[in-house]
Amino acid sequence: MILCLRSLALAATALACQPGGGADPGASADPDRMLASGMTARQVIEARALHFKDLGGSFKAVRDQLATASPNPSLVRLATQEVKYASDDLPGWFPAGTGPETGVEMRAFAEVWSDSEGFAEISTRFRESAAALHATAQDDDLDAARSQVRAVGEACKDCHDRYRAEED
Amino acid sequence: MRVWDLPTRAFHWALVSMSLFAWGSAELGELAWHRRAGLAILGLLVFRLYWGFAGSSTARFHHFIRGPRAVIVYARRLHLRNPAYHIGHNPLSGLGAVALLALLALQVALGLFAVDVDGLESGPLSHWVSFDVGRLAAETHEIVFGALAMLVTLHVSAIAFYAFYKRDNLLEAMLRGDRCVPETRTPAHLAPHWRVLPGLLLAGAAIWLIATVLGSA
Ligand code: HEC
Ligand code: HEM
Repeated sequence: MILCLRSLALAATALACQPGGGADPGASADPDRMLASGMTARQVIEARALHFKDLGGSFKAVRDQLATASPNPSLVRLATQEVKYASDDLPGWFPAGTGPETGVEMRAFAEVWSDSEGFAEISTRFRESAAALHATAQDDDLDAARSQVRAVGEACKDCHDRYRAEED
Repeated sequence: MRVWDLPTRAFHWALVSMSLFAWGSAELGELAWHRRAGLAILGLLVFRLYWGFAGSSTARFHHFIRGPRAVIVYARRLHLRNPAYHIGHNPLSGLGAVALLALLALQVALGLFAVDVDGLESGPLSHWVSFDVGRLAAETHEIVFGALAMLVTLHVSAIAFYAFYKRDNLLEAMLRGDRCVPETRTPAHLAPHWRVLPGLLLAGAAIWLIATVLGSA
């Protein structure tokens, strides 16, 4: 419902902006233009938000398990696998043309695309630390997992500090 | 004449210092200390809840939670430039005290379940809720902080208003416990000192329960 209302509101602003030629002259941005992937920018952005919500949930599941005295090993394996898959996919959630220039509400900064090297560097660090975390879980090495969780969390934080707005 | 008993004053100033500490530690990103401060405030609130039923008369809720009529009657005379010599809360400050305590309780409760976006920091009870609920708790925690900051500003301004406009020194009463009032006033009924003990036990039990039993599951 909230999503519905929000996209209605966004559609309304998009319509309202069209005749004037848009508020930002540098913006290339019709969020409903089809991208190479066959999805519109708006669809990619909404899917991205859902991917991140899932990632947040999976990573929380890992931490909650590891915080208990006797974590459930198969749950830890499963949840670390989800985080690992997400870390493999993450760069693909940010195709060109899905940044703030679309006018769609998001927290991603334009720097994700303008500083793509820095973004790729942190993405790689995330991918490597998430893979290492999953490996510790497959070995049932909980102590190693507990310290590796920290490294993954730092990757999330570093990227958010640089490329994501704290407030929306 | 005695207005605030020692436990109520100790509670107040411990609450002030822990609130400042919680605020500062959050600003500095020292979330481990922030969690400890939150638990300390939780303990203080549990004690105050107990003291509101078992403490001296001026600390008891039924003494200072007054109906809307009393509040309106009092508020109408707020502009008069004379001390009113209340033994304890006046109808308006009683309302303020309840609002502060309730908002603080809500704030602590939200903090217990809050989850940060990076998954590095979270409240001690956050494993009982989903990621979405935890994020909602964290975002509401920020909103309630804003409300609390406004209410505390109002609270401290009110004390200053009484001091400078009404020439009524409430601060001294909260510090030393006593204030000068006409002898005709009925004195507060003071609770015996031993009554503090069950309250301390309750507060300790609440902190222990959250920090160990419920907190690590
Ligand atoms: C390489 C950069 C990068 C990494 C690594 C990263 N994120 Fe993010 N994350 C972002 C960006 C950018 C956004 C904002 C996306 C948008 O608004 O379109 C975001 C958004 C989110 C959101 C959506 C909710 C919100 O408040 O914006 C969640 C949840 C999230 N990230 C969790 C995580 C977690 C958990 C990790 C680590 C396990 C992580 N992210 C790792 C860049 C990253
Ligand atoms: C320098 C700052 C402060 C001063 C000078 C101050 C002073 C006082 C005084 C004089 C009272 C008694 C009011 C009355 O006569 O009715 C009082 C009550 C109260 N104050 Fe403060 N206060 C301060 C900061 C705070 C802060 C930061 C908080 C909470 C975060 C707070 C919470 C309360 C509460 C809950 C009461 C009700 C007391 C009770 O019944 O237990 N105060 N304060």
